[in-house]
Amino acid sequence: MSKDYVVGRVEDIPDRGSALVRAGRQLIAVFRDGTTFYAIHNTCPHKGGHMCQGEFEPDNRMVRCPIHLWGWDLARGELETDPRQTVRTYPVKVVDGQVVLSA
Amino acid sequence: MANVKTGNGPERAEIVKPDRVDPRVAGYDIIDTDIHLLPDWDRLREYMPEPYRTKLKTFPLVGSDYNPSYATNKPGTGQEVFGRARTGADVLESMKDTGAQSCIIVPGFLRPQSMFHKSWVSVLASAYNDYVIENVFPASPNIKAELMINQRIPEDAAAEIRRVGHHRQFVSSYTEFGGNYEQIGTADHDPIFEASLEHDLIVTLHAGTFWQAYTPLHQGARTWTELLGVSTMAICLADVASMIIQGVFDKYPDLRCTVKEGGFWWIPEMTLRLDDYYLNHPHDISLCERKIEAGEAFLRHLPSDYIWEHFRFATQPMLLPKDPKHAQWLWEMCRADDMLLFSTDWPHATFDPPNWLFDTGFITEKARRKIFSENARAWYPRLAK
Repeated sequence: MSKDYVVGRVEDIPDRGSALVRAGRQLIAVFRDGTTFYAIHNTCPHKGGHMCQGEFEPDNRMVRCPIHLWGWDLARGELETDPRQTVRTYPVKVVDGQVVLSA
Repeated sequence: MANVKTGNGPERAEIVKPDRVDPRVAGYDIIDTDIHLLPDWDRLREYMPEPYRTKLKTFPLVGSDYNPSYATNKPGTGQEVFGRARTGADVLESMKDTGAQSCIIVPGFLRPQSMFHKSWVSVLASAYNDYVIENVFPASPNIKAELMINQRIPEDAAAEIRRVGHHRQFVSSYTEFGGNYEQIGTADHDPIFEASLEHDLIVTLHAGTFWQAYTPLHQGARTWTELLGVSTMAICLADVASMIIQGVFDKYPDLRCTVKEGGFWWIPEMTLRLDDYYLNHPHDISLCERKIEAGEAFLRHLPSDYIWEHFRFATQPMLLPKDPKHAQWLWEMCRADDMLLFSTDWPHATFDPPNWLFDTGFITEKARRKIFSENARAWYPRLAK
């Protein structure tokens, strides 16, 4: 069962950037595009690259793993070129200026 | 760090920095058997005699390089994606990305065999080896290297091995498989094997030479995916077969080879075919130079026996079937616990971090330690503790 975690204030995460967040025992990459946030499991299932260090493509709603550039849809968790391969994503919302992650 | 409760509401998450290397590698003795060194060309020229030092102002390349950046979104051939090591200090720094305490540096970065004028390869090899001795080895005894040689002129290669092979931080002689030149298994290459054995050096077979516009297969692959993904493997397999079938290991029973970047899961199919085809027409072997010289008609063992005895394989790129049952079958068929030596291929675009050794459920702690370093220490005479 998931529970909510307060990540911080909106401005704690750079716009069109990312932060690595430890929520309980999980490491989650949180991305910000203005007032829109995405959260995805930090470890790329291909070779273990840190998603938080990947190339964020807000216009495509995608992050590319920094090692081999595999592109992951940040809302659906699907691999760009083979949607059968997925990585876990997490709901994120903004409550009173605070970023709240359900993980 | 424990999460901080925010009253009765949700817990507070913590913004952290990512680890540079998987923290699970802590406490392991790790040898990265494949990282790449790229000295500045002008620094290498300082180690060349005249007139090369003055005349070769730029690396005399190989014609038009295959440039896959249209497909990879990375510059050039993707060989400097994670950094560039020019010196021993750089090599030590790079190991913070791989988790290794020791490494074997590879000179393949310069595609040394691929210069048009093959005698220049001998000049470059000597300059490179002297550069490594002066600028890389002093940084740490844990930095080992492959000795660059000119495999296109095997007599020059042997002379170079005998010139600097006494240096204990060289652990192997470096050859490339790319299909552009004669197979490494032909008798022309015996001087390389003899000189390597004299100095307790492994012979490395590493992917290379194919960065030219064409791979020799089918007058050239059309895509980078075919070239890097499959052509290298096919050529590697053919070069390994050439050594076995043309009797290298009957003539040099103590010779050991390490294969890098050519794959290894093909071993079951390859050994089945070689054994069967060999037994179908064994007299084929009797016309090879080494068998004529030895007065022998056949190989002394089945082709498959030579794979297990005389070859080890660097792990990058490690790819496994998603079904763990299939992955384990493949692992066992290839005797991977014993046959594999850990490697990352830093700093190339194909970099393999060590995560897979922890994320693959059936890899035992014992196997993990063997692959990380124990197999390499047992295989390379100069890595033995």
